[in-house]
Amino acid sequence: MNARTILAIAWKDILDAIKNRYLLMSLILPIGLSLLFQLIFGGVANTGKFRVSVYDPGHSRLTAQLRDVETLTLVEVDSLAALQEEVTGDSVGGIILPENFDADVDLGNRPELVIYLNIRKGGSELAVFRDIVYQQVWTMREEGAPVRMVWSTSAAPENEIAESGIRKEGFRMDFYLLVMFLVMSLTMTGSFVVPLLLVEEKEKHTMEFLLVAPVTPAEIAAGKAVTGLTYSLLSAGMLILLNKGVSGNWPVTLLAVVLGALFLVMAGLLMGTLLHTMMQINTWSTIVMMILLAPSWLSVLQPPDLIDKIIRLIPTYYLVELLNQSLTGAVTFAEAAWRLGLIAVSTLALFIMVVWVMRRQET
Amino acid sequence: MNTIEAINLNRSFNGRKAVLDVSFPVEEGEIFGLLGPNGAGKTTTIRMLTGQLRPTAGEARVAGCDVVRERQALKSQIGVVFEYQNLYERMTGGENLLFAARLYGCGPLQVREMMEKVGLADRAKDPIRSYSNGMKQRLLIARALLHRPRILFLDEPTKGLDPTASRQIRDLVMGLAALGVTILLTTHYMEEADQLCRRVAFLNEGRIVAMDTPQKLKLSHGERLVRTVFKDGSDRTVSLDNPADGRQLGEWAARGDILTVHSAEATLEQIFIRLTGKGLDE
Repeated sequence: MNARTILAIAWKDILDAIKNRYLLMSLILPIGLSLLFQLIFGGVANTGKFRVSVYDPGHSRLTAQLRDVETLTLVEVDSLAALQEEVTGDSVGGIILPENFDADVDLGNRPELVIYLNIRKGGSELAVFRDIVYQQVWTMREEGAPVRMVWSTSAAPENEIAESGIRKEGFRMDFYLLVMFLVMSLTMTGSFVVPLLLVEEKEKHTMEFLLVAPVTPAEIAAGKAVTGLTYSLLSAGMLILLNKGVSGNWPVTLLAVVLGALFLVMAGLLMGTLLHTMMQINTWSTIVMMILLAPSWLSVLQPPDLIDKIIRLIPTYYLVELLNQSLTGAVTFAEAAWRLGLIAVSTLALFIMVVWVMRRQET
Repeated sequence: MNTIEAINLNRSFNGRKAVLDVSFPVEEGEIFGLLGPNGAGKTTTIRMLTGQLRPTAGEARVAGCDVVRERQALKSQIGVVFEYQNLYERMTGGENLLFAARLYGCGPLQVREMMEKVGLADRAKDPIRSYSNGMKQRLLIARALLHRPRILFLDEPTKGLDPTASRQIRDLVMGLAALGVTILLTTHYMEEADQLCRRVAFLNEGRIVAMDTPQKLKLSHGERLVRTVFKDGSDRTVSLDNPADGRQLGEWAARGDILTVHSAEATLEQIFIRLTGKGLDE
């Protein structure tokens, strides 16, 4: 592998992509959407007033904290039956605090916090309620997760929401959106911009020029990968800075973004080597993007078990999980290691496939 | 010394034979033409000789390198001008050459020198989309010559160009040959081949059907004809191979009936039609 030729290809593509409006649009879109959503969700969070009920026989300090939240109208009930009635009526949600809740939190016992969601309420109201609950719970203890949250719907309280790794700890609305846009940005660059770079070379016959120049197929792939990685990291960096994402366990966030970007760039390279026309790219990129983005969309919902099992087969699931946890500081490097490793191994497997396909196609 | 040596080259695509037992040598400094209609196998042959395509059977050495086993070494010895004008359209002419220069390890000095050589120095900062076809073709030649290759492959270098642009390209090719660059070109313009090539090979349906100098091909496959225009405006074509016609020509000359005499030997195109039964545009 010759670094000079790899950088020459990357530099050419980096400059050329700016002149290509389709590429430019896909690079800017996630950042633009992020700004737009910041405005929209900022507005919802600031203007809404939610009715939330609490059953707290032990008089926890969490209830006191919730009382101080301006956007909440807190209804303190004295029985579970009253709480059930509230969360099937006017309340957006209800919280059940065990009697010795504060003591268990302080001792690091991670007591169970059951939270009911009133599914008759709107999605944005529920999202903001969840955001507030997480924010308040996470202020109770400096290190580690303070509680085990069990989310349930008011329509079927006996049917507890499965505790997925994504949802169980550290959910925050602003970070949920950041993760969604980060994954969107990395996926769009990886599965649209990168294959486009390769397919354009094929369609315009410039690939033939590259293949008679002293460049190997692996160097062409590496050059495109450097371009994709550069744009991915630039977009991700901008999104993180714009959304105050340098928080929690930021080294894990950084590592997850870099590895995630590499994985998605490799996926894009594989598509670029297999596809030949822009039309094919438009079709297949859309399908692949939908699949890769699904974990980030579903992370805030409660999909049925089968869907939940299926999305765990998508490597971006682990990226979403890692980012959700690292942004809120809910994961240590050791806890993140196996998921980082999984993404790294998937990336390596894709790179080997890319080089193999290119060598086969070369002659 | 042979710079290019193709020996029984074969190439099939999904069972369809595109090139069949093609063999030819090209000497150093020679301009060699592969002539034939579209689909005859010219581009496939060039792609095999430039290492872009692996032959199904046979072998070839170019600049001493085996085109299959020593492809990477071969790349620095050859320059290729493709049938398509495969330039980066959103970049300027100068940027296109600079990118190629980086791949070949050349400097901006060579880029400037090449732009001047092909007469595009004053258009270096213009985007490719503002270039005419002739300018693009000259830029492609400049790109192929940046690293000073020993051998230049030109695939249909004047296809789609106007007569002036074609003339400029032909002059460039002649100039390169004078400098000792070996050139293999494909074309279906027979006049161009006649003008440029020391030797040509006729390719039809993947096979070489004839190969020699244009002159020898004309002599061996055509007739030596002379077209005579008389003072009364009539004309007549006679064969120099026919003794009676020769005597007749002498008599007309003696009587002072002849206004002008023209060589009317067969063109390469006529010979191709004679050999293959079809024209070059079919």
